[in-house]
Amino acid sequence: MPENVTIALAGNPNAGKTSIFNGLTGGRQHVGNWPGVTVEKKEGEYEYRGARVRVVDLPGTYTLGAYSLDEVIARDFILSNEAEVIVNVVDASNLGRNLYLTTQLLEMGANVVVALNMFDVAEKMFDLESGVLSRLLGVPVIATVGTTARGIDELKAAVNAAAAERPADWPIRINYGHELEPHIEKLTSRLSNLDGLPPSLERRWLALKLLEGDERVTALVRGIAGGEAVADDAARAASHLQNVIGDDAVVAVADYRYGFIAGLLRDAVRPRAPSPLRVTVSDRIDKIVTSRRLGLPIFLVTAYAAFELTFKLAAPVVAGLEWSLGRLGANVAAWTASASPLLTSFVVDGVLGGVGSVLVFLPNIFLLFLVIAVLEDSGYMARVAFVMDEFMHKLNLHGRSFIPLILGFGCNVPAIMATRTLETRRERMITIMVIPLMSCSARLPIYVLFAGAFFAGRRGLVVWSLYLLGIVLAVIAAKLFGKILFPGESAHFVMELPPYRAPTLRGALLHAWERSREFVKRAGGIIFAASILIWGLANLPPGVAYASRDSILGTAGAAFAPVLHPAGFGEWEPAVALAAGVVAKEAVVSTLGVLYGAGEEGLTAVLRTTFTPLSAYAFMVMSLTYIPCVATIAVIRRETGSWRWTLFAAGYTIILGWLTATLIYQGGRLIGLG
Amino acid sequence: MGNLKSLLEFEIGATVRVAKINAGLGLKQRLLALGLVPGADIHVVENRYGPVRLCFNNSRIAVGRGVAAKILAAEAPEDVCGECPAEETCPDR
Repeated sequence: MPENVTIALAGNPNAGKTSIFNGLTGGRQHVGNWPGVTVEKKEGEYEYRGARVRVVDLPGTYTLGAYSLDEVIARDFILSNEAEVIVNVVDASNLGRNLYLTTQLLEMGANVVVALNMFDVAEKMFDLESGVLSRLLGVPVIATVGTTARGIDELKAAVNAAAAERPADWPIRINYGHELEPHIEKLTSRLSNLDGLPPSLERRWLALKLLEGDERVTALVRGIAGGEAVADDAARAASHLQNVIGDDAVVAVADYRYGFIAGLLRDAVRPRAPSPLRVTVSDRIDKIVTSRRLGLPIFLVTAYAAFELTFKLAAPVVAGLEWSLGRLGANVAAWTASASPLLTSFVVDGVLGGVGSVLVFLPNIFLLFLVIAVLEDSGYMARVAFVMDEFMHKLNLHGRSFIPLILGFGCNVPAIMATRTLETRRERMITIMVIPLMSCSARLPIYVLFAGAFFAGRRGLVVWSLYLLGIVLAVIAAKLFGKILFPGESAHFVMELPPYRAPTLRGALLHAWERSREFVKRAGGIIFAASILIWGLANLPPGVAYASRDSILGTAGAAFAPVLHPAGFGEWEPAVALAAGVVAKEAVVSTLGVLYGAGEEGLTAVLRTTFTPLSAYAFMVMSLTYIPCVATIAVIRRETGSWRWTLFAAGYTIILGWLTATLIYQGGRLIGLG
Repeated sequence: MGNLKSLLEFEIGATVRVAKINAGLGLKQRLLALGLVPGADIHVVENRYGPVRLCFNNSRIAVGRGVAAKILAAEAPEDVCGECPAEETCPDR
């Protein structure tokens, strides 16, 4: 038996792939990106009877065409032969559809082990013989229940056996009927005579794909000597078939595959009770949750509850963390005071001030992802996308984009990470680009300070208007980006509404833990570097007081101030505060405090002497819109995989912020408000 | 087979037999993989607002109105859904 084995998990979305992954690996995983794309690649490992097995989780797909990035990734990985065994996770209670992917895997020549998952649900519905199914498919079939780890050991044993000995080629061979078969056979034999095709690619599968008009396979065949003629013949055969059968070859191929599956199920499955037509609990819930009248209110209440839970529950932990960091700072200051004030400042202002102010969000991030995981696993997220699709469609976006946007009100960082659930790059990019306009909780302290100082009687209204302004700007930006930067139609909305299921706490916790760890590890590096940089600029040239007018930061602020003059706040202090806010938005408040040399209470009085209500509002608008914070920039870089788009996100928000603030200030002066 | 209509034009609760999918190769393959093959009987659960909800093959699928417009179907023969008790049920094949 080989010592190192690589296996890949393939299966439909909602077939329970994640629970099988966790069952196999114990939940230990490594998350990265697939090369060149931003789709997440999850890997794990386990040992079983002397074999070290690396598990690669492929994106959940219904088929292996080229409809979405997910499908391309899954298909390319399977064809690369990097995995010795493909574990095909199928939902045993929905075999008719799930085996469709299985037939494709087998035709690609993959070394398949089928995990007949959710076997407990299926058992109640019908008599299912995994042995019969195994005989008919020609590959091992193991009954599993991912959530309770039933069958996991058997699955591991089957994987070891399959890795040790590949079954004979073509365990099954679907007969595509008298119209298609002659063409398939002819193309197969012609492809077999060509040199230059990778030997691992099944010739019959290639022939099928050529007939179906698959672009990637056609390009591959055309690229080799003698391939042009074969591809031309295939195209001719395809158009001939179209005339004969009155539809594309893909339709005929699908028809025969389903015919094969139906035949197989007739032999392997016996319904327990004649209950073909029934209203399930899921249907009853859906009747309310997705109804025209109640769908939206139910979603709004759920979102509000999720939001409250995330921030209320985290608040004491956040406060505790802040307190500990404060204590730590004070202690460090005491220890290092005698050594060097510079060292004290470095640790307290630079390291703890910068990294610390971001780390305190960790409880929020953990809880936010816990809530998302629960909503996702329960099946409710699919309904949210359904309910919001009509509105999002007007913005040329997909219903699913709505979820990350809402999360942006909490914190932009997890919101941008949540765009991973979007199917197309276009949807993802547009959504990522406009998320920074969602007013995150870190911007609230700025509004509270200024609204309290200048709009005491109408504080709530003023803060509310800022949130609304962010949404309006995001809607306009999404519409514009969709037209100009990412032209094209919004992705077709085709979505399964899976049955509601009780989420497992373990799965949700694992998910939240993984996300939190990632946040600390990766974003932490960039935030640390940026904090040190800003701290350095505030302390140079040597000898200046921290963040004073004479520091590089102060000088830069003074140089930059005239640019902000049209927006109504042309002094150097607001400029530096805005610059400091790039590290973390709430730093705008603390920096103003330092610069004006006043505590929280004195600050209000000082602000009243330098700002007017109009310029204060313009400043709040600027704080809302201008450049995302460092953590957000870092996560945009990581999720888009592109510095260009990261710079674009930072650039357009600065310009938009300046324009909006200036418009408001100058417009207000024109009508006599200033 | 009777007149072909898009899925948007059927009454809710209708059981229809898919005849043709007028879509590009990619979308067509996705729909085929979900079981929307010509000849399949599907149940139109809701098509008055938002994405169209369908029920077939023991699964519930929602497709955007643009997609639904591309799926042509005819009334299914009477016997297929003779015992459909209520509009939200799903014909399991």
